[in-house]
Amino acid sequence: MAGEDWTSTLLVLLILSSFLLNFTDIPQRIQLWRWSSYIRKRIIQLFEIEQDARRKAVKYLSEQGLKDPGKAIDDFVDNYFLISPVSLEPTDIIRRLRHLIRERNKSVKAYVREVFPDASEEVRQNAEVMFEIVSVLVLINKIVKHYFQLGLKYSNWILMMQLALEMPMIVRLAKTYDDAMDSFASGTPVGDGAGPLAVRYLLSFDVPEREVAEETLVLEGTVEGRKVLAIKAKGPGSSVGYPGEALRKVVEEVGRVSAIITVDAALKLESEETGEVSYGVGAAIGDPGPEKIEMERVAAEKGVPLYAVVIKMSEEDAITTMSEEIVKGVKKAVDIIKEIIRKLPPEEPVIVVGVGNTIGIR
Amino acid sequence: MVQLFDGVDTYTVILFITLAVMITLLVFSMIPRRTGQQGKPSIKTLIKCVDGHEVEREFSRGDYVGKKVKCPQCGKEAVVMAIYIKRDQQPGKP
Repeated sequence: MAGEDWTSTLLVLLILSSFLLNFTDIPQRIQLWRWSSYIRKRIIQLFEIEQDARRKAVKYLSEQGLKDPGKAIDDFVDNYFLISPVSLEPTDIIRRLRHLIRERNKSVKAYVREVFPDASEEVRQNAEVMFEIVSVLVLINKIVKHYFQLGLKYSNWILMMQLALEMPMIVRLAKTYDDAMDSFASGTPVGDGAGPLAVRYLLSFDVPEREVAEETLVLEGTVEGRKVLAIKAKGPGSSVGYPGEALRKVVEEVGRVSAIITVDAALKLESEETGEVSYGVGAAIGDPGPEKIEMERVAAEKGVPLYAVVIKMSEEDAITTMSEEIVKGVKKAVDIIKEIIRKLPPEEPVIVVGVGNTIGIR
Repeated sequence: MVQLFDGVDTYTVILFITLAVMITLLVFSMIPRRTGQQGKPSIKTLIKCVDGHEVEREFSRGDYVGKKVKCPQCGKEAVVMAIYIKRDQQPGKP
C-alpha cells in the first residue's frame, strides 16, 4: 500500500533527522556556514565604506592643496593610538589621562601641520577629523575581521552568531562615519554642535569674545538683565576646545558666579525623538573624564549650582549635518536656559558652557 | 489511506503544501526589508536680515553660522543663523 510506505518513510526520516539534530554538530556547522557567509558579505560592505571614506578624504585634501593625500592618510592610520592610564591605582588618574589626551592631541596636530604646512587652521582642523574618521573605519574593519577569523579558526559558532547579530549595527555605524565625511568636507555644522549653537543663539554674534584656553572662547553678554559669560569652542573649524579648563579659568577670574549651565547634545533612546530637550543637574559633557571632572570640581569647590540642558539625538545625528529638528531643539534649549537665568540673583554673573564640536559655527 | 484524486493521497498533498509554504517563507525572508524611507535631503542655509526677516536658501560651500552675508531678498546686511539638513516630506505621510 502506497500510504503505508509513506508512513514508514516519514517515520524513518523523523527518527533520522531527530538523531542528526540532537546527537551531532551538523546543525551548528550549517549555522556556522550560514553566519560566516552572511558576515563575509558585510565585511565586503565595510571595506567598500572604508574605501569610500578614504576617497572622500583624498578628494578634500587634494582640493585643499595637499600633494600626496593617500600617503598622509596611510601614515596616520594605525598610529596615534592612546593607551589608557593604569586604573588599578586610581590616584592621579584624571591628571594622567588629561596629560595623555593632550599629548595625543598635540601629536596629531603636529602631524597635520607637518604634512599640511600651508593650510589654514580651519582646513587643518577639518583634515584632522578626516584622518580620525578613516582611522576609525579601518579599526572597525580590523576588529570585525579579527572576530570573524577567530570564529572560523576554532569553529566557534557562538562567536560567529554574536558577530552576525551585531553586524547590522556595525555596518550602520560605519555608514554614519562615512556620511560624516561629507559634513566635515563641506564644513556644515553637525548635530554635536548643538551646544555651541545654543551659546550663539543665547548671546549674539557681535558680543566681545576672547580665547581663554586653547581653541576655547569666552563670550560676554547680557541675558534677562544678568551678565552672562558663555564658553564655546573656537569655530568655524572642527574643534571641541577644552571647556573644563576654560570654565575653571573664568570662574577664578570673576570670583563668584550664581550658576553654571552646561548645554550639550545627548544620545537619545530609540523611543525618543530627535530634538527633544531635557534639563537637570550635573555637567552635560561626553568627554572621557578630564573636562567633565573639572566642571564638577569647580562647581563643588565654589558651591555653585551646576545645571545641564541636553538636546537629544542619535549617534548618526550627532556626527552628520545638523537636522532641522536639532535647530528647533536648540531654540527650545535656549528658552530653558533663559528661564533658569531669570530665576537667578541678578547681581552675580552666570556661566553658560556650550559643549560640542563647533564645525560650521563661528 | 484517503485518496483525494487517483494516485494522490493525503500525505503527498501535505508534503507539497509544506514545501510550498517553506519556499514562500524562504523567498520572503530573502527580500530586503524597506526601512523608514525618507525624502531626498537637501542642505539649507537660513539667513537673518537686519530688517528681521529670514530667508532660506541652498547651502553653498564656505557658509558657516555667524557669517556676515548680503540678504538675498533686499541686499542689506544679514547673518547666517543656521545650516541644516531638510528632508522632503514623504507623500501621504501624516
